[in-house]
Amino acid sequence: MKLIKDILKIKIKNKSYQQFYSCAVTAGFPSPADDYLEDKLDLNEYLIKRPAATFFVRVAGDSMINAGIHNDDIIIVDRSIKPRHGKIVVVALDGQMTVKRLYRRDKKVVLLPENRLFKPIEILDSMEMVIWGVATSVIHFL
Amino acid sequence: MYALVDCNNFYVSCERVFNPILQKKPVVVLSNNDGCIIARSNEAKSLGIPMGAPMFKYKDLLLENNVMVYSSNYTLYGDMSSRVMNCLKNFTPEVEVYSIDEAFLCLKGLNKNFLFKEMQKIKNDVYQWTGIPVSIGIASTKTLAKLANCIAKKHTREGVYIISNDSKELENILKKTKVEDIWGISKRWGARLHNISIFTGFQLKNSDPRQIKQCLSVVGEKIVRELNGVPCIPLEFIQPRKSIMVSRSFGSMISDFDNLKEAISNHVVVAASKLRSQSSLCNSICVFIQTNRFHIKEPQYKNSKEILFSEPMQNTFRLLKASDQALKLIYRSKFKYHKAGVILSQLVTKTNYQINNEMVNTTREEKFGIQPDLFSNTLNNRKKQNRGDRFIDLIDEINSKLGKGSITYGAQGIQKKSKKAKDLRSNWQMKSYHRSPSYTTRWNELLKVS
Repeated sequence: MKLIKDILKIKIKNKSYQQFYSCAVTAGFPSPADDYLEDKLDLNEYLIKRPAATFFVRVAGDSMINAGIHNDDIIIVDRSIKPRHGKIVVVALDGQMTVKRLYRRDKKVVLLPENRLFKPIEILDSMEMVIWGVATSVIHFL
Repeated sequence: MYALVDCNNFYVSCERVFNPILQKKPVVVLSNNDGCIIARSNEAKSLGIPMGAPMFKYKDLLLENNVMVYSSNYTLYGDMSSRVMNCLKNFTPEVEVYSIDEAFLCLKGLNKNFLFKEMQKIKNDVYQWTGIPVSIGIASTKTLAKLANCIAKKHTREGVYIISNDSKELENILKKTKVEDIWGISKRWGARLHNISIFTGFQLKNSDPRQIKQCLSVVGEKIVRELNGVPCIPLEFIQPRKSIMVSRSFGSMISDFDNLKEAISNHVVVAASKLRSQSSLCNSICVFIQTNRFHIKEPQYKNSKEILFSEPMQNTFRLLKASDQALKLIYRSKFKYHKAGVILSQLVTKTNYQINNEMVNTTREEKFGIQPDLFSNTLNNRKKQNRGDRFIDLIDEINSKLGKGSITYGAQGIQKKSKKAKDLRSNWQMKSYHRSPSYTTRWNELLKVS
């Protein structure tokens, strides 16, 4: 029930945004702020540059904890970004999806965890690795 | 020039994006109700599984070859489709979304080599951005682009193919193409063309357009011109639908009224929300029910009832009420029903209707010089109606925020949420035992990485 009330509140709030003026024009003096109305801040716009290429992915485990990525966090992954050395990437390693920091130097490719309890994974020719996308930010509830 | 961009084995490719283990393995996707195979990976195709194959006939073959089987997940496919289309719209605004996995592009003033490179770039970018592989066919008309696409898919490694207009190459291709395989030529039309001794695309191209117009129609004539490189079918952009149908066959047969009503109510809810999402109103609702015509030994029955409204509407409650009325009129006990559906028709756009309505009302008032609230459509009534519509909007909004089915209408029946949900579901619900998560539209079904 509380949820419904909250949503009702949101709805009512939204309604007031939709009205272009913050006070009715007919009654009294118009608000001096009316000429300075701007769009509300939109997190989608802030976090997502290319919506068609952007996916939300849920993290399981602590292997990237020192990069600020915790168990159960959501990372925002943009597939259109080039996976350069040092980026945090989502890869399919032998069919398994994992998130790690990409090390790519001297013809060597290594997936680095950000947690001392985990070992770096060096990519050998026998392994099949496909880089799925580059993580651009993490959503973590405090 | 026109390009047809077609996603390769689209439903299978969608599944593969989120489950890389499926790469290079045979995969099939089933139709609604897990009945037939409607998408196959190349590996599955080479096992000899035909398109539309009934699942029960191929069960053994699928098991023997470790074929991965998925129920169709249209939520996922729809989202991935819109991503692919948006990708294409980054290159040119002139995109006609032709189906869930095909789009025509209109390309202007580019030479062949440049075009080829540009299309390869599009192909690579779509794959990079969305993970969906596509093939692109390019030619001077849409009909030829469709043909070029088939060649791109089957006979090239790059997946991009251009047909130049006056080449020997086009002649060769058309000689090898049956008329009924040409875009726009149905089987029925194919048979008519056979009657006048036209069997290949090449023959059709060189035929007299006037004769074809007589034989088929003006559309047939256009196809002939298109085969000759004269564009006659321009890009079409989305128009709101004229009617909305929602129908499904049931997971298992239904005889009793309550179950049937529940199923139909669910279809009404889906149809009504489609109606509202395209800002339309409907003037009538039609309910139909039928038994399984393939079960020859069972008694057969099918019927439908259309109910007309005094004014166009989009309110789910009122549509539910009407559907209930209609069902009561056509329902007969003792039959085993296999399929049911609803059709909302005579759609009008909301803005159009409102404008007309305002005009009618004001002229009425002027004419008769009386207060408007003496009419059936009184102000009070209208206010009440608006309140009802606002309530529905609110339900729509909650469902879009918290996921489909968060709030349901009483007539839809009670959802059974349990671990054994599959066994406890209502009879009318579809079978979809192998559905993948809706990775892109539900917070609790996101792709997981470790």
